[in-house]
Amino acid sequence: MSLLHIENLSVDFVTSRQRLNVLDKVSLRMQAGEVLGVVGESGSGKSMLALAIMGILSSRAQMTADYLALNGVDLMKLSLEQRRRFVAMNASIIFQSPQNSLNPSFKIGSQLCETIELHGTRSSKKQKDKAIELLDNVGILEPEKIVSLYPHQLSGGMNQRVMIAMAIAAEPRLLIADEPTTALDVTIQSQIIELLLKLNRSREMGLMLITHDFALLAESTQKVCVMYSGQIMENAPTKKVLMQPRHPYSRALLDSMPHVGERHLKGQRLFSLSGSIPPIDHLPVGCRLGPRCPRADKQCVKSPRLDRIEGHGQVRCHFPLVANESQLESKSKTK
Amino acid sequence: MSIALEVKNLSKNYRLLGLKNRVINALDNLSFKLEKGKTLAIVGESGSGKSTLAKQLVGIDEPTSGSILIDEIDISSVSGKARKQLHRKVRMVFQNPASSLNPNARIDQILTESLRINTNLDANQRNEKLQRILKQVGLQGEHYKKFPHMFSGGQQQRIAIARALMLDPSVIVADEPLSALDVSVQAQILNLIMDLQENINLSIVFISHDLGVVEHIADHVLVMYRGQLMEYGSVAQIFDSPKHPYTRKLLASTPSYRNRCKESMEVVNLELSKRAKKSNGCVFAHRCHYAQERCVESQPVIIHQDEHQIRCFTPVEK
Repeated sequence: MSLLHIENLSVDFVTSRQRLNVLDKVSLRMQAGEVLGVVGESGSGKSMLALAIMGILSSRAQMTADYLALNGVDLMKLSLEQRRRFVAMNASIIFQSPQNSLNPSFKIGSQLCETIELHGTRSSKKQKDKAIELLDNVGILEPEKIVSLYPHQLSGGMNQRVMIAMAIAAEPRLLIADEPTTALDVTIQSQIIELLLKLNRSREMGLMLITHDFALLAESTQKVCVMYSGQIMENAPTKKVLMQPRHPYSRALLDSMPHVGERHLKGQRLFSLSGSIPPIDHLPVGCRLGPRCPRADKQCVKSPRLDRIEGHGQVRCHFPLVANESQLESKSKTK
Repeated sequence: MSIALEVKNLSKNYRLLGLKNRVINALDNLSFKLEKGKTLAIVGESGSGKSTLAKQLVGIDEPTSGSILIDEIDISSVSGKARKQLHRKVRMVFQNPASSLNPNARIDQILTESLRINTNLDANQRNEKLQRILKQVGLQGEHYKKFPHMFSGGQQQRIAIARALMLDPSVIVADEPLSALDVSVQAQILNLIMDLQENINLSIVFISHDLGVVEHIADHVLVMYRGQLMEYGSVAQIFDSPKHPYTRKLLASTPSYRNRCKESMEVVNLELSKRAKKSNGCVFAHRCHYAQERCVESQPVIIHQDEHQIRCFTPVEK
């Protein structure tokens, strides 16, 4: 049984004039204890996916799915209230900026206790003990002192640890981390990721890591799901995506980042996709990457399907790269 | 090689309001040189004084002491018009293009403003220049009648770069020019910066926390912590044989460089670390894996090994 099983999850925003499709038939599976990376540019629907799983989309969003199961329970069959309770017990989410997710006018301790109470601990003495224990678990020194401080008295890294403590209070089976380190300094980033991975291992907690840092994915995830404009473009084991990506978009993302050891050679330029991600109300016909794709051809005016490639994973492209093709042929690679 | 920009013993102190005698040394005795046509990258965590340095370089803020030399002329030695002339040589590109461009002004207004203020060019000449610079940063000429919000983030950053180029500067100070942009767009802007450098021999001060980008673009790297120089050297020196514990810590925290600095970076002696926080010793001692008694007692001076500079008692040799 998969921890998370999604079949054809779509999210639309309906306005009086049009219907905007922000997630288009996303299907994926996560096993218990697995670390899944989700990458893509901003506007690719990564966060929308996280919000949809958690059931905290805005009320204007319409969500449909053939099957959306968490821990074996089909969420689409539950009533809203049942669903809210079930998800709260089984999944948690942490966001990019801890400063914005914590309430500035309450002490760390009381915010933690609120969450702990929700999950069934009634006595306030026990709540406080649990809060201190949780803070200790996430590597905060002197948790007894921290509980009586306000969020602004802590650093960004500490606040993110508090958020994580709050997220694991319910002992969730799934933790979604939506760019958990983007707002933090590099040295703190690595500590937070290490902490998340430690929790993942020690509690067999599934971890969905939403990021745009490929290097981070390389060392922490088992599977990667590359998203673009609300669609999954490539879904395969991390090693395969990093070493031999089959989708031109994955390749382009990898090539647009400087490689370790590559230094200022005269005339050398990074590969870059021309243009930028299309606005959701002006999607191109056919393949959504089409206008930016160096391999695009006539056939690309028809939407490609997410097809399985033997020995690799799923790829949504009419002209997937061949296994040993290492670079996109393009004039901008070397000028 | 001629020097485009030189900084000598630059310090900047900020007095904290309401607290008598509490002074923050945002920049502490910083010296470096930037050759013409080269790129100096400045790295460090937030709070290390990178942006304060940028402000001093472009003249937004006055340093407390020390001097800045632009094209080998000390800016504090000149005043009035001559000083303005000098400051035209150093222009800045900010982190977030969306908030650094005036939303109420059209692109041509934004770009020619500095020409109207600083030069005697007439409207036609200004327009000519505008078109030339727009082309240089890869924007089409017809864009100039639009407003900033009509552009994507990458295009906005191109406009911000164009604005910096309007007065034909010799140095561009770019304060995290990529961090507000998406990965695929980052590469476009990075390529543009490198193109400009080759085409018009720009010198660049590139402030960033992305070590991958720094390794790609920089000729020299300055590592800062708490306003002080921790390590300075060529890209090869910093990335192949980092000697300061702080540089090693930064590299070890970046996933793609982790295997270069494998040693543990945890603080060993907690008691020492606590004392180091309050002492006048090395500013990094409280987080340093290699901290010793003398690091707490006194501040290390900068060791010069040819071009390589390290502020540490016990540089890591590996």
